[in-house]
Amino acid sequence: MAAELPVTVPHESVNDDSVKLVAWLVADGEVVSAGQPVAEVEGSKATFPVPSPHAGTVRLRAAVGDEVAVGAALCVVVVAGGVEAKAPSKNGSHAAVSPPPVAVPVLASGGGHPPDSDPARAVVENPQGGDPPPTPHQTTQRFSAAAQALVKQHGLDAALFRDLPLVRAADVQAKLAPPRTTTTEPAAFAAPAKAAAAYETVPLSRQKQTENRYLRDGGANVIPSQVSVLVPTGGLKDALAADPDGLSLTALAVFEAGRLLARYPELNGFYADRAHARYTDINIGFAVAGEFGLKVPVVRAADTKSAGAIAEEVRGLLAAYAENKLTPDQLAGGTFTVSDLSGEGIFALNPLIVKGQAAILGVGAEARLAPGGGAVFSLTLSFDHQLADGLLAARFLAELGERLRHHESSLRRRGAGAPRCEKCGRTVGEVRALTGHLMQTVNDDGDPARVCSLCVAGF
Amino acid sequence: MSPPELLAPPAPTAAHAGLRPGYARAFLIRGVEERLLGLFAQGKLFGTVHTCIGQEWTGVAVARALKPGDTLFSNHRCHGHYLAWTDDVDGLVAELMGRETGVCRGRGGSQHLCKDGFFSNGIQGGIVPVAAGLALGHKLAGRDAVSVVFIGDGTLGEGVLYETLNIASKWDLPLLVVLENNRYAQSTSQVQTLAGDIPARAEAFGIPALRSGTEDPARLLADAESAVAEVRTHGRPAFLEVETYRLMAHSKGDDDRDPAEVAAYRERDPLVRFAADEPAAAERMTREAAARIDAAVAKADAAPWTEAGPCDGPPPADSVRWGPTRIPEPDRAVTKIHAALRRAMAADERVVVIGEDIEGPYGGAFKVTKNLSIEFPGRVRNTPISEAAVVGIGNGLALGGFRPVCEIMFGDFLGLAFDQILNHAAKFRFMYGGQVSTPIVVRTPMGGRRGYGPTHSQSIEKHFLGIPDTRVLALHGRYDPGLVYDELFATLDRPTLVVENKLLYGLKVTDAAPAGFSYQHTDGPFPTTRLWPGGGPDLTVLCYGGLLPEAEAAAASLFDEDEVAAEVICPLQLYPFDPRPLVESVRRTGRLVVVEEGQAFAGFGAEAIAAVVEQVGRRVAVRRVGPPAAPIPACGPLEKAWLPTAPAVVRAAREVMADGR
Repeated sequence: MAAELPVTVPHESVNDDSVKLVAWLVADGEVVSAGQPVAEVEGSKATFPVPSPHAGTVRLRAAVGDEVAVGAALCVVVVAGGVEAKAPSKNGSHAAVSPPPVAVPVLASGGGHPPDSDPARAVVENPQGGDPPPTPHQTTQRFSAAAQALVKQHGLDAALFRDLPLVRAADVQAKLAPPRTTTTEPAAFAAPAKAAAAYETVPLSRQKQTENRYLRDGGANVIPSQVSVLVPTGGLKDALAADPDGLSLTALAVFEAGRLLARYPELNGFYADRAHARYTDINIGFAVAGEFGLKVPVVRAADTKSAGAIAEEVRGLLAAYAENKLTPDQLAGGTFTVSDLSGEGIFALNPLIVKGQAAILGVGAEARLAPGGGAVFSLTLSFDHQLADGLLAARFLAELGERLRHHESSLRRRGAGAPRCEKCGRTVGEVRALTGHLMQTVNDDGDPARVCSLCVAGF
Repeated sequence: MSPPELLAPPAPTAAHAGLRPGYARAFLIRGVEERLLGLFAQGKLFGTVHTCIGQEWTGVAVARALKPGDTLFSNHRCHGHYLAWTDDVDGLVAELMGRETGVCRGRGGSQHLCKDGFFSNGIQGGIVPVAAGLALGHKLAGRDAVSVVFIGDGTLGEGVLYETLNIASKWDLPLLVVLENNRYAQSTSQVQTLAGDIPARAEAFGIPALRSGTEDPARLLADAESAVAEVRTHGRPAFLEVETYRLMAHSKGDDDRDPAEVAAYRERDPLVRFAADEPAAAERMTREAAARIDAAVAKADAAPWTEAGPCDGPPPADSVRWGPTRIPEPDRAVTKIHAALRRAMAADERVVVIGEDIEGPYGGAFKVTKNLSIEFPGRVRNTPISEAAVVGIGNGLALGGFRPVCEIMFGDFLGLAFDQILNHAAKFRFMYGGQVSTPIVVRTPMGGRRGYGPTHSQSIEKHFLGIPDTRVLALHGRYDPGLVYDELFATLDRPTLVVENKLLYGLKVTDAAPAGFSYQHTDGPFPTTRLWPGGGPDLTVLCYGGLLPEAEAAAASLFDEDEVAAEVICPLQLYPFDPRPLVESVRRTGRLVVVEEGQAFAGFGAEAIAAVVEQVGRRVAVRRVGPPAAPIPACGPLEKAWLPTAPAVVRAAREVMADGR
């Protein structure tokens, strides 16, 4: 007797309800072994193979490009023969001697069976305290006691929550008073009353849709606010570039934010139902945008690691991004985010708070305020005003700026990599700060070279 | 019987041509051991050596009575037996010098040798049931082979010897027990420790006993031949006592015997007398032996130290994959396990089941082997109540190419068989240099809730965790136990202890999860199962085996009452432990409750928490739930209060949730 057993989409990421079928790794009718990958699917964070749990003949049930729900069948495997050969008449005799199953708590059977008693006669226990679902594949749902009471109190239709496996009181309350911000955007863009100009609609990439969902969800739960500070600098980027340990501004920002957040728990959590949910870990994500879309790999326990270790981890994560090999694990679990756009020449940015977080730090590029004047860069903190306020955010940024300045001066003191004027011993940054300019010449090799504008000597 | 009279006249030397090869081998053995003492003095050996100087003719005579295909088991004083059987001076010397070229790659050393059907172990008596198991293997396979085990008079104090004599006689096993009676156990005279008569011990079990001695090699040779012939022709055990004397210390520096007594025996030593009678022949034999020994030492000196590492590589580092758990044919666990054993026995002749009360119609205390003895005659055997011998015989069967399954009626009884698991099954592959493996399955029920009281209700698996080169599995009802056994028999490569919870037998195996949750498991054999809360977890609960139903009930209650979504992690393989599923879960939740039915102190939970702390870092809120530090009571209500239950898990969960905020 052959049986058709489904190969279903595994629950790979908590954020995905469905995945996209990217490729079949087997053909219809092909014989597969148990554990053999049959398809490659794409979730919001990574692509991954789906193995068949059974051995048998594959019958495909979806096409490349389809969105398939988590838990739904991608294909079925036809398994030949009964897996378990049973002795004849075995079932019959069991049915005859076994009492019908009785649902009792496990402990009720604690006493009194003689050692040689037949366990076949033991009570069949159902420790779930209720009937199991009629079929294991059916989507089942659970309401907490509080949620159940609310549903009853407001006479809500339970079907409103059919997408949620576990329904909490907060989920019911959200339906009772939906947040305003979530509804405005689709309304605004859904149908322009009078199209001023012709347009065509191009479906957004899956990546962009996921990103939008995240940011929309993140925004829905917060009252956003923002403060910025300007940090004076004598060339932090240059000092970092010369650092033999390979520190980067992103790594430094992650390092210092990690240490500061331990003292600013208001910025390391999220608002939840009139409460402040504080994360116990400090896991800092940093935004990366490029060929593979916007992604936020996470440096875990950033407050416990050295700047050097973070720099190395950031390099590793960037390398993984460049090869599109970031794993769901490397992208999950962020509690705070850094968006460092200092390499892009922008002055300041308005970073959007990520879902499930309270704040995000934006880092701007170094800029000269006036020709010949000092240089600055901006630090911007977008934060949830439900948990923090402008004063707290300002203090956070001021401390962070101070720490970055301290790094800059200590990097310069180390100075191993920073070239110095061969006469006065000043670095490029120091000369620039004193005179406001540097001279340039062409050396014997024909390459441009800087000249100290005080001593007219080489570096 | 009294020891040999010191004043009796020595037997005449029988230095005729027929004994010359035996003398040559005896001089080789003596030469090797004297050189070993020299090498020890030079610091070139590791550990100590136990020489058989004075006893050489025992091994020589028995080895000459055997033929290829026979198997030999020996003890700590094994060099002579080994050389008599293998003639492998190079392998022995290099082994004791810790070299890669040693017969066991330098892992075993002096007491743990293995080659061509020869096995020795340094535990007194423990190797006897292993020898009997291999004798059973010879018999089941229809091989015309004899299994010999050498013991000393000191071994007569070990109980497992008598368990084995009983079974060997009852089952007519081709086993020859050779007892070398050198009258001392280390430094203690048998006058102080031995009651009764030696051959009478064997005769009490219906085993014919012969008595011989090394003083008269011609007679010893004839006695050994007749003892082996008795076993081979009649297919039943025999017992040969060889009276002899050890001329050197038991080991090093532990000889308190009267020097006059030792000197008197030295005068009666067959090799000393042969050298007096035939000095030219003895001198030539000694010289030839010395040349071989010199060459062996030189070769070993030039060989590298052994670099044989651990049996298994490092644990996998990639992240785990989860798939939905589907159990297409829900059925009671006992039915599933029975069906799997039946499948294995039908598919593989090498699968043999032994244990107490397992034959039909009774079929075991929990009916797992019901009717299998009728369907597979001779391959399902009732044993006496002899747990150590049962597992030891299993070990011997495994060495003989079988796939033995030993049922221990209650897990509590495993203490009686612990030595067989710890010092035999688990050690063979490593200490014999990878030449053999021990594919044995030990099945046993554990757990309470049946009112069986302090010695029939325990969960003592923690005592069996962490023994290298073994595997410990704990079955549960949310991953098909039949599938576990299918996977086990398909991959069996090491001693595997399978813990079957007593209540599990009667429970239905299904993939049904509480509403809002689903069951999933990792890919690969012996997977970790998890109860996954839709929408993601706030808390991790670790359990295994019989406590999964309690953890499941706790997860449902925690959501209903507290809106806390718990992810229950339930590993099937407790050892070697793959912490990845647990670690990945705690990384998400930062909160962990561990629940176990056995004593939690130095238990599985402690080990799992250590793995979490090592890999997740600090700030994980943890609670352990276990029974009180007391034996498990029989009285129903008291037992119920003693055992960890769902409400206890819920209480601990509330504490860690409060910790984490």
